[in-house]
Amino acid sequence: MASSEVLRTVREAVYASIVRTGAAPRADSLTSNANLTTASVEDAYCELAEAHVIVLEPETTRIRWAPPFSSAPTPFRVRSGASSWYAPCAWDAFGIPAALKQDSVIDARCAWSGEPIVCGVADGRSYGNGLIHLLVPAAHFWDDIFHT
Amino acid sequence: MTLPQAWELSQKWYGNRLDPDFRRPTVEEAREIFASVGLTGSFWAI
Repeated sequence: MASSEVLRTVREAVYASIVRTGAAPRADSLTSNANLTTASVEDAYCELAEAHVIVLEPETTRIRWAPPFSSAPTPFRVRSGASSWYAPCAWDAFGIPAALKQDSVIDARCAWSGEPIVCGVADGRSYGNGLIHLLVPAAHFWDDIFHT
Repeated sequence: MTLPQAWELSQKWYGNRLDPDFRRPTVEEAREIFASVGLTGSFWAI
């Protein structure tokens, strides 16, 4: 079991990487700057996933999501300044400007019609029209997070 | 949920995600966050 200090170090490194590059780091890439072994980083990834802080690709120790960021492309792209990121879902698309504390443009499409949806955050306020439909009740969000 | 609700929810849910002392909300805190942005009823019950 990883210490709380290791979990914190790994979590901060994961988020720093995905904010900077849009991609979550491989476990072996964190060993040099955090003075950890690949195995200890992988253990920390698994514990963070168990705690629902991050989401791993099934049966692996590769990070797919460090919510509200997605390391894999999704239909929800968020742009701020010269940078952009993918979000796992529509709610998380608003989570990125919330986490970054930056205005953002969200590029998304209606799940039914495929029409582009123009929305985002400007001057600290949301803009755009539409509704976000969640498929799964809150009590079951984590039963199958990829479906949620 | 409406987009203003999503933005308000996101600020409460993800506003501290990059902070060094971040921790996930407890179940009780999550209930309070949902209710504070008007997300109530059986769908939002946890």
